[in-house]
Amino acid sequence: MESPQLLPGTLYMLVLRTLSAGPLHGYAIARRIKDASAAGLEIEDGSLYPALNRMLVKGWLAAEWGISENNRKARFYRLTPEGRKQLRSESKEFDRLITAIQMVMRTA
Amino acid sequence: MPLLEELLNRIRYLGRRVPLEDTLDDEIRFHLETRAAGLEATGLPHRDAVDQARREFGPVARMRENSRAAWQFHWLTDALADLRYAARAFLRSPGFTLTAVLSLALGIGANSAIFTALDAALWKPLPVADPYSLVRVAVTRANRQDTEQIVAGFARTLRRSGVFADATTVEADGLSLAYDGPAERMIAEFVSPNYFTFLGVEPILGQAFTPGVREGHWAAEAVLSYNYWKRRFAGDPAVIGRAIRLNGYPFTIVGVTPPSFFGVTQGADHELRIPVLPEGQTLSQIAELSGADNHPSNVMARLKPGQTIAQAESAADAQFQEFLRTTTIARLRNTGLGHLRVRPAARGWSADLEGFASPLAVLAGLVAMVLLIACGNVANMLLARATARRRELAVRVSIGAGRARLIRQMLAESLLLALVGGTLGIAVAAWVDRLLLHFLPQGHIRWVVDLHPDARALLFTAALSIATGFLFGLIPALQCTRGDLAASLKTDSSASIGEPRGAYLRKTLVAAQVAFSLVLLVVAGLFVRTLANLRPTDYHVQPEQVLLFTMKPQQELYTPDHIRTLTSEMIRRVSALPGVRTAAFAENGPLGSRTDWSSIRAPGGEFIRANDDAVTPGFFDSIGLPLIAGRDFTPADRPGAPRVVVVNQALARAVFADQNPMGRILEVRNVTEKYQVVGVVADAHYYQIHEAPQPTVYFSGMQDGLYMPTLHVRTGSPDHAAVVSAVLREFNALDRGFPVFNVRTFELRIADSLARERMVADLSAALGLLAMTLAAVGLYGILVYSVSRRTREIGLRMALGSSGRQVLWLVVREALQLVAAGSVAGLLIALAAGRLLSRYLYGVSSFDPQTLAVSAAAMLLIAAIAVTIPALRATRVDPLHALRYE
Repeated sequence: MESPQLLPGTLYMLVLRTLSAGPLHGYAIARRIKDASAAGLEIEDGSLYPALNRMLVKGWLAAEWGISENNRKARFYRLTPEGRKQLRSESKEFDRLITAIQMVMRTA
Repeated sequence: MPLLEELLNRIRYLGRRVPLEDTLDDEIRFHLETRAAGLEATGLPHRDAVDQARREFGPVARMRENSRAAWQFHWLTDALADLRYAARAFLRSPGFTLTAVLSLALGIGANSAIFTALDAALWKPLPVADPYSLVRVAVTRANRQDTEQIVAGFARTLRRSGVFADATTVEADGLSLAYDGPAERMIAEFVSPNYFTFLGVEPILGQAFTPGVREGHWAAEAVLSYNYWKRRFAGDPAVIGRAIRLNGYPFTIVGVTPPSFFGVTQGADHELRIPVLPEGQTLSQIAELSGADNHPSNVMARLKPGQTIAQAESAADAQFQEFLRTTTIARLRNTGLGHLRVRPAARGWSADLEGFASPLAVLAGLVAMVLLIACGNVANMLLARATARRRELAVRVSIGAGRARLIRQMLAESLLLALVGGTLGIAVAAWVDRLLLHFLPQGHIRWVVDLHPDARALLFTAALSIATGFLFGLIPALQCTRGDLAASLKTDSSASIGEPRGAYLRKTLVAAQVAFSLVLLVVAGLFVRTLANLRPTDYHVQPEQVLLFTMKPQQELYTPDHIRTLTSEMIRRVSALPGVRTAAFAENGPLGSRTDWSSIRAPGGEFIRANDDAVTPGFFDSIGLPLIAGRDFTPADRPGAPRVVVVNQALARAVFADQNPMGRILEVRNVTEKYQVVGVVADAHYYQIHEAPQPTVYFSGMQDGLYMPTLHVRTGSPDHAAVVSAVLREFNALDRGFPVFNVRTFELRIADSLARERMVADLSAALGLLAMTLAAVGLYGILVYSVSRRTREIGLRMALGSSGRQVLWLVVREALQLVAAGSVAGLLIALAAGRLLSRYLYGVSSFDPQTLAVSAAAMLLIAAIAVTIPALRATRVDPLHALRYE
């Protein structure tokens, strides 16, 4: 069975959402996204990193090195105020989109 | 500003200390190992756990590439790649590249040079602090031009009034400098002590007047200009504190101004500046230093921040009217002085240089045309290349390049060509500007114009190069990426018969080049004829055999009687020198940098305006002006003797109509003595070379006195150098207290009085030749290309019995069509251009059949040369080889 594809742009939203609870390293972000969606979203772990870098460029995230739970050096990402604003506007946009799609699906 | 923030983040990336790659690798390692460890914990064997972690992660290389790409400037790296690719392509065809770059360098360089000159003549502000807040002060006069001669009394009032932020006074004149030898000529600027602080000019050496002088305690201080310091004092830093004598009065050198500073008069670089005296004081040796209330000079002021010229003008005029009401200077009351005017002075005083603006504007039009021709050439070469590269382009399309991508690549190529051409163009411009400086006329005041490429010139060159690159690059790029490129992979273009794609465009370009070069040739021809027509023929002498020496015995140091003795003695000594035929003085002499005029009338008649000069016996012979009637001056025409004048025929006609002028009386306005006409000389273009000979009156130099006379020495010997040094030796032996300068031949004076016409004629001739060569190269290129494309067709024709002559005609006909079409268009444009330029023409009609015929013939001749090689190549096509080819 094919796993559902990610809608374009939603990866950013998922990452923002995941980080809204607090800073995480890349591996943890990948795990959280997979766990939260009950492994339903099949994304390559590697594709997370270009997205993280693009979000750093946009200024939504900040990154610094820290110590992981297994006592190793890991790079932790956290939301900037800019990122929080982005998350709010993206989730609102996403809700609107989903509602619209659902309405169409129901009436069709 | 999210975009700005992104940009800043990217720039930070460029400057980061730990490379992104290291960070990424660490992150990837951490990710993979943590995942593998997690999987192992669920019981998976180590090797399998590592494998699965890698599988889940995906391709590491792509992820690394994409992460890096997030930070980079795509367009920048892409553009660099395009340029690298273009550079490699050009290195593979050096002949094409060299031709293209050279024609662009000449075209862009010529434009940049003319821009620099126009900028200097019209636009460039003074190199001082905040030039755009500077203004000049003028006063209107009843029935006369406004004057900028403002008396010191009012200048001081104005400064104290606080209307302006500040004001300074300037005046310039020649002085005698004595340093370590005989007197030397130099131009001093007499300035108020606040001059340098007012302009914001910091000295590069010493001080721009010592603090005491700036505060108003006068001292005999001099600040040298940079170039004078270099020229006269060899750039010696030890000159500070040294003494020089100006008109015999000792001054101390206290500073040197920076090389960028040329004073407030465009076209001049006065040698030094000295402070004027405080209110009421005077110095007998240097009249211009006077601090008397009625001593006039020019006033430059600085607006207050936010103050408009209109506001300043009304406030300053109120001050001026009050001054006029209360002044004790009686002279000012009754000279019809009107209102004070305030004018922008970002460029200081520049009237003399502005005279060069319109000839330079004409040249700007011509060089723009040359650049267009060069662009046409390069566009044509690029079109030919692109046709040859269709396969390469097709391959790129078939592996996924879009049209925009191809156009961008081709534009990168043309921009690269244009930028390399522009860079070389800077050198070309420097060379052309040096050439332009040779045309600057030189007289009793040295002309100095700085045409070194500055930031403005470089910016212009860069912008022009980029615009040029688009101009010649866009059409080929659009043209050859059009249509089904991939289809051309299948066809064999080199064997096709008939017109290839874009041929029409290419032919139009060549015809346009022919047309524009013909226009340039015609215009050059008109200017060359104008110059020839303007050369005066009234002087019956070889102008290069008349040597000129100007002397200036300062009136503060030499009495009129002393000057009279000195000049008489000089004439006696120089006349005795071997090789000298005549020697005589004239106050101005013909076609020099100084002129004079008087109002003259017969008693009871109307005053007319006449040129005047004061000359000594033998002068008319020294410049070859024939005596028509009466006599020349004699040594007897001296003070005390009856006042006499010699007039030219035009004056005799204007004042005495058809009556015999000999022995008649002339009156001069504002002179009480009456003059008797003792001789009539032939008419000549005396001061105005562009106008018909004007009425001219010659006074006796010995009788009326000489101020800054020029010795005219007519030689019979071709060895000028020997005569020049012999004359200078005599001056030196006679008196070392006055400078002798402006030593040159009459020929050079004539050349200088035609400086603008020579500049336009010489440069337009050079541009015409350049344009013709470019057009010939273009024609040659298209014919060679056409012959090579039609090899098969020609072979076929020859195999079917065509003779070599018929094949020759085939090529020649193609060339003839292009040249004929171009010539007709060119002649039509030339007629229109000629009408536009008619006010610059003299003695030649803008429709001059001779010029048109010669230009067209020259164009045909050069076209014939361009045709020869391709035509002969066509006749040598071997039919068998051509048919088997491919």
